[in-house]
Amino acid sequence: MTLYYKLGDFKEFLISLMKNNIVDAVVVPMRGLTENSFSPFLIKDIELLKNCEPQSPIMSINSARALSQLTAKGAIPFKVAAVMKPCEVIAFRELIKLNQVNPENIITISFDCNGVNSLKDINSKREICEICTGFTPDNADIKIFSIGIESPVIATDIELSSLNLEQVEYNKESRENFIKEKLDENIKKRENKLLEIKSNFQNLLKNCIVCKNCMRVCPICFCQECFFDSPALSGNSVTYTLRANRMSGLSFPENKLLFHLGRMNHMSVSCVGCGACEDACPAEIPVSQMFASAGDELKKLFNYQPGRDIAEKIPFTCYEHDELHSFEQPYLEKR
Amino acid sequence: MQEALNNLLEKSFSNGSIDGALIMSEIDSGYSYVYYTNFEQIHNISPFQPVMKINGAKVHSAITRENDNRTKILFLMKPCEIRASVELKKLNQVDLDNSILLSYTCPGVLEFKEGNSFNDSEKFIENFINGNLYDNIREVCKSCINFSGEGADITINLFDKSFVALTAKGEEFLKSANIDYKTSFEPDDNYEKIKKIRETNRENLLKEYKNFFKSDDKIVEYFDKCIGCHACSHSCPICYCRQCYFESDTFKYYPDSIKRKVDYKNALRLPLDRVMFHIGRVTHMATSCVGCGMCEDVCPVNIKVSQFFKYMGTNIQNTFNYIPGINREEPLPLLTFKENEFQEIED
Repeated sequence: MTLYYKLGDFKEFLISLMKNNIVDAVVVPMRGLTENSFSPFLIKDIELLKNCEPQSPIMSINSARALSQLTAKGAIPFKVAAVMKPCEVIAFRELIKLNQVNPENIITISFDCNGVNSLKDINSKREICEICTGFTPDNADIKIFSIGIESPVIATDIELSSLNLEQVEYNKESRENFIKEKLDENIKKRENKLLEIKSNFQNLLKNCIVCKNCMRVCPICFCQECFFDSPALSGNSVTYTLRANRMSGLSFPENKLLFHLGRMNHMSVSCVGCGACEDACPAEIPVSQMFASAGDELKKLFNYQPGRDIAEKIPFTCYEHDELHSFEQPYLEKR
Repeated sequence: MQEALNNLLEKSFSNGSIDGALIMSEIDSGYSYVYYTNFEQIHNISPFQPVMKINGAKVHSAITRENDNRTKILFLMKPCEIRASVELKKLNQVDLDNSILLSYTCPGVLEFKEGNSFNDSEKFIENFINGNLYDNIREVCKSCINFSGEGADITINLFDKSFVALTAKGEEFLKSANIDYKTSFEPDDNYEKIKKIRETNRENLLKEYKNFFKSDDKIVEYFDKCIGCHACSHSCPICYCRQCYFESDTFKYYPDSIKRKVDYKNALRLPLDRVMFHIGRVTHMATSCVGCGMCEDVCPVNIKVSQFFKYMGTNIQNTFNYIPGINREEPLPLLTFKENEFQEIED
């Protein structure tokens, strides 16, 4: 049963989770040494936790990736609360489906997210955050509500009685109206923006140098060996010469469009829209918006929402005999 | 100079001394290397475009790492790309036997985003020939002193508009194409002037960095914003490993080990081993670092990676008295064991 408590201070709440042994450590953003530098930290010391910034305005990496790294060879051997932005929680849940993170001993905490700022320009919000439609912490174990209500509320099924938190009621209707309004606004903005992106697709890739950094920071692209880095696409002096002959010259860096379309094919149905790819792109290509433009349609087609339900299979991992006939090409008949 | 180059290419293709050529060209999406396999394909070449979207040595490696020992290819690349190729040869990642390395006196490159749509390369070269350093070139280019094309078979001296044969192979190649050439590089005043400016820049950079890194923890500060994406290593021509050690299983920890680490330090910054990666990379490849600046150009958080590598690289290379990419016969310091060296830094 979901209970609602009053949230005094976010940091204090995290500290009380540790003090009352609900968890032994917290994964939460904290400032680095220089200005505007934030990273997720795994913190075990309450004194250090006092410096954390649970709602940091920067996402240096998608913290689902960090949790994947921490649990690469087994569950974390102590209890951890992970403070994550809603899209990070979604990525975490997609990675559970893909067997890339061990969720044992991890409690996720999320909140109504106002978006994050660009790594390159602290004063501007990530463009994908401006058109985000998943800004509420729907999939977390502990949810912190703040928009559309007077004071923040903790909503959770987790047993927190030892914390002696004050149970509260909150104005559900006001919150839902507020969310609906913002969602409608963002959906509209999103449709327009993505339409624009789609119509300009090839041109946007003009400066791409195929460094594949988008893939390397993507929480969903977990493959140790990416297909597009594999020998399948490489060649030798003979095959390159043949290719160049056939195409009257071969440009390098190669396989630019193939790489992006291929990656899109592989992961855009699970894309959580965190924007890490776009922020890590040295050529400032709106990668995450390009992926959203394809991802949105795929998700609609498969009626799939990443992170919604852990039991729900990723479309590419389940075969259904009777589906998508409308996309089939009756080439056999034609012949 | 481009006319003479065209002439060289036409003759070399027709007399069979090459079967392919990699040359920077203008394409739909800006400027890129294009691999041509006959002279008729060649159009819109822009060999001196000040842009590097990928270090050419990586392309050289992709095409020739596996080769049939028959396909002869000419690579027209910037001096640092040539040097990277020579280093990669020592690492068995390129084939030089069937390659002709052609270079030119390089004015430096712009950041790749700017260089990709830069339409004034003629003026840019003109400015260079007149002995001036362009403001917007990569920081490492401003302190690059190996910009004459050493290491190549042939270099084009843009100052006196001549081909210079640097190796016997290069000489034979130019001879068979009936091209006038010189047998040694003749630096003029403007070349010397630029070299001087760059030497001063380099000394200043080394001094500044020496000052900054006066204590060990400074490196943590320097890489503070690093997000651990490894874009620097993946764009590096020298970092050729298919599986980087720092992305290997070694750096995926068992639960016990995570617990031990966090118990010891009270907090772990994520992703793990961010700074460790840079220290490791510098020990692996700084002896061969050619200072091309790709790492810095691709860094999403604007860390001055290549300047750090220039500082570390120069010091390490001086220690071994080694200049990467110039002498093809000189073995890599890390592959050479000498019983009696560095005893002064032994514990």
